[in-house]
Amino acid sequence: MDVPFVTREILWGFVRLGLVALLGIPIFTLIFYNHLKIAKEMVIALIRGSVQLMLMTVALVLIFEMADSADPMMRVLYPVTLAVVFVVMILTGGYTAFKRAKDVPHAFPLITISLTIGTLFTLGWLFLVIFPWKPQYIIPMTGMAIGNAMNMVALTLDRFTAQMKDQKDKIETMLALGATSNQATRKLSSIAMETAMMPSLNSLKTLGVVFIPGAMVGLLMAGEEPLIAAQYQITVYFMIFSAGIISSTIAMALAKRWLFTPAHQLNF
Amino acid sequence: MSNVITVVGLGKKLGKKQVLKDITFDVKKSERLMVFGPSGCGKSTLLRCLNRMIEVDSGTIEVEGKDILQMDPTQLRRKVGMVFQRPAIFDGTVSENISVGLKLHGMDEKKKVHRALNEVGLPMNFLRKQAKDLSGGEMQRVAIARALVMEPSILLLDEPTSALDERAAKKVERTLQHLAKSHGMTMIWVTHNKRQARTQGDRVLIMGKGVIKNIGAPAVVMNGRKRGEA
Repeated sequence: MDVPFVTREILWGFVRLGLVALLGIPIFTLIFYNHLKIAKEMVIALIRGSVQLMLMTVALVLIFEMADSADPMMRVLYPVTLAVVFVVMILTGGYTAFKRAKDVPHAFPLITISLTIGTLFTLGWLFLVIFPWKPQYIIPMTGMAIGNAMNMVALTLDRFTAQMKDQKDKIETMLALGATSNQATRKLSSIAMETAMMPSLNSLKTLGVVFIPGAMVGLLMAGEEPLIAAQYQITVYFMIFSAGIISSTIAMALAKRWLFTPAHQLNF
Repeated sequence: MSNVITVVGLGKKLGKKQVLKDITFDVKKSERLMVFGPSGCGKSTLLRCLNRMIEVDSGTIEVEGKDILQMDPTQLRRKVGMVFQRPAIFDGTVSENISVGLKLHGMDEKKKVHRALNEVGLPMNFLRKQAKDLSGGEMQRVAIARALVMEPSILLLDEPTSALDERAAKKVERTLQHLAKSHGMTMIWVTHNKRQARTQGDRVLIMGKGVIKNIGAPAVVMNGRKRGEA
């Protein structure tokens, strides 16, 4: 298998990236100037993110090669590798969201299950109707769906549990009046989900006017027709909202099963 | 007179602490039972067991002859209303606060809301007031009206006046006395106020360290005499 990892163009790309990294000077100067305590976190995140992306490119090159290969062994390995990539993405997404929603009992399995259902359902439909079954589409779309759903689930659960603690007396009052646990927390669930969806909703509002999102920028830079790029971008938004709201709804329903007993009693 | 609540051998642990031990008592229809004892003796835990806000570990509780574990908890809580020490007030008007429970069950009858407000001695013009603007005593009376509007047959009161000043506390006491006299409402009222325990109930149940120390008429048990003593 010929893997053209390092070409002259790629090497020049790294040189240019070095020049781009000079923007770190104003970034870190202003971080210190504004007394922000995120400098260390920023450095670690930048290094970690870059290394992760580079490793991902190695995996992508291998997967693209597998998809195009006529070797029967590769044709077996290809779907297995895709499944492994999906599982790794889901587990990483589940773990990242779990760290942000630690107050929820059994958060890791709960988030992982909800992310799996939300993203598989959404991606399944999109690959049936619009995207070709090619790794060039499957991997980035899966990453985008899981990444956004992960943020939405983490925000939803974090906000929900914070409100549960804050408004425990109101929830108890509702339960004492004969409310089910769902009735007692309906308002809190809605607020938590609205809050989680707000960043995506706000970017959707300014779409094309102020904000040209990543997927569209990528397609335009790759020379795609602007109208086709716009169609894909709108599809991406449907994907983000669908995967996010399905995952959040399932995560919330599962969280309530742990936060309340079947007799509608508080369990935290 | 028939028992509306029968508690036998009740036990409850919270964490590693045995909060209630072998609690046995009954409450007759239209009776006002005062549950009196120091902080942390298990009074509030006992109250929460009666409407299944928490589950008991051992023993049985019957409400109107039915084991509460055999009842739908939401139906049980409609039958056994509860008023907390600090009333939880929702955003909105007094009327909206009183009708919270009704709306949960698909009812929104203005007449019931008006009647409940009247029962707790608040004027009709309060209905449109923002509930958050009320005084502590008024809020507690709104909370009582909110429980009453569900037409419970038993009312559990968890130190309803302990967060109020004396004047407001007296008003809440008068409201509860009125309910007992005019409706024959059965009440179980947790308090750590000696005067209240002596004057507000038909019987007093004295608790200490999770067990019943004494139960009987206020004049008898509040003077330190044990059960069965003349």
